[in-house]
Amino acid sequence: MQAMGRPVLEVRDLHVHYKGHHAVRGVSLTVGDGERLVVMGPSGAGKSTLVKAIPRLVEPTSGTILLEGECVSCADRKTLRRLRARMGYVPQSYSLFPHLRVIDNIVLPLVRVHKLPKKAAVERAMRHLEMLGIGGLASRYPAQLSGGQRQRAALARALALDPAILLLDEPTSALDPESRSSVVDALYRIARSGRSMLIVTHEADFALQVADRLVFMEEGRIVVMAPPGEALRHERVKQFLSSILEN
Amino acid sequence: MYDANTESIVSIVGAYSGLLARGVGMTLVLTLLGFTAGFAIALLLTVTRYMAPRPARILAQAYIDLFRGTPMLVQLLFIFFALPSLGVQLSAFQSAAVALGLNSGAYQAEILRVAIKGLPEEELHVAESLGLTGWQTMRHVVLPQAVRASLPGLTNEAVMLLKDSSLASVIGVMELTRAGEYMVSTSFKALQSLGIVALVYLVLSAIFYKAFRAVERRTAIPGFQNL
Ligand SMILES: Nc1ncnc2c1ncn2[C@@H]1O[C@H](COP(=O)(O)OP(=O)(O)O)[C@@H](O)[C@H]1O
Ligand SMILES: [Mg+2]
Repeated sequence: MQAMGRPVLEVRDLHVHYKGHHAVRGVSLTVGDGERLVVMGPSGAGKSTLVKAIPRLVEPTSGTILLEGECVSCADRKTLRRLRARMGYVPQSYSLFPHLRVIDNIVLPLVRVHKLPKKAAVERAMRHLEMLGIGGLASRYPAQLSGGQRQRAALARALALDPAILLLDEPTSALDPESRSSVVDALYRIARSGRSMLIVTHEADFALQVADRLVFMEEGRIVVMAPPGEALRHERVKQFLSSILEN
Repeated sequence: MYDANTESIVSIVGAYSGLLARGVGMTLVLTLLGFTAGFAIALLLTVTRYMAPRPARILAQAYIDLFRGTPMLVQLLFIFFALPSLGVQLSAFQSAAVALGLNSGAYQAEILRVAIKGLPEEELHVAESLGLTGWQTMRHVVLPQAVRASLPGLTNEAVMLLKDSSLASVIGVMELTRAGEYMVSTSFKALQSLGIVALVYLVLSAIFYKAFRAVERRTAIPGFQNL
């Protein structure tokens, strides 16, 4: 599925500095409607920084970010909150609030941000939990779940907000193999539903099967951006993939 | 000798039971008032520190530094003896309650700050990414966790306050320590009188520890290992 019409997300010449360290060095990319972009690259390449800079959880130094044509990078606080609520961000860990039951983790933003009545929010939350096979865990606390169940709950929360795009930062990296496969299954299901995604992952099978385009980052820059088949012809990408497949 | 002491302890308790009861009552009232007011002040300081414009943040920090950096006794004496010359006249009891509350507020704010610092940054990123406002994040994400994590520190603070409430004796509030002094000066039995007072403080501390522990257990997040 290739990008058509107006892109959902557009990033132009993005730079991010941490006190002195130049973590993202001029990244430009677009995610089309329904497109799935998979980002790979060695540790420290700036992948997480890129994902966090898009909803401005980390403030970019310069560059332009547009969500469905609306300027994220120049949005005031109120607009920014509205735009953030249109992006489903899921980090590698600490994705759920530990003091809230799974269901309340999802209901909180639905009620507080999307202003849904409590009852409708609970129904919507349950629907998404069930869709990812964890409806039975709604009244548990995050610490009472396995890592995989927790990440699926976080994905359910992101989806319940019906975002224009999912921003996933290595959602499986902190998990044991069994948990991983349950989350990867969920990711396949989400991908099939046609949701636009920008996902950092080293799940090679998933990336090769699902990605419309593969982005390879190194030292804060995109060095390869192409459909997976084509990306695989690059020596650096091949080398990287074989190194992660060894582990 | 031991028996004679025990006997005189019993007789002193009997003779001064009314005074002791009043003293304990006043000590508890001062401590609980101070702690509760302090908690409210600490919440206010915390919200100010994290969310208010810069001048207000600086003021909040100055408040905390002032009350943590000067002796509580000086604060108490200042409120009781110096404020009247600025037109604020408080009774001895009011002065003590205000001093304890203001002082404890600063310490409790510090306890909350450390707890908030312990929250993983990712969690705050998630809250922001969901579109929650700063206030909503404070109210629904940060404070519920920070207050829980603060409970051990707040327990210590409550016991410190219990003991610090004895400073109120200096300005003539008839709390437990002042009651002890009175017993000494009228019975001439310092050993027994002050022994009783110390023992009562010890029992009250133990009750505080137990009560806070119960709160901790009741509010614990199921399955959550708080390190
Ligand atoms: N909060 C931070 N403060 C300072 N440097 C950071 C911070 N987060 C990440 N970095 C640095 O920025 C670079 C990119 O990090 P990151 O985006 O996490 O890379 P990746 O996700 O690709 O592993 C790394 O060199 C990392 O050390
Ligand atoms: Mg990363």
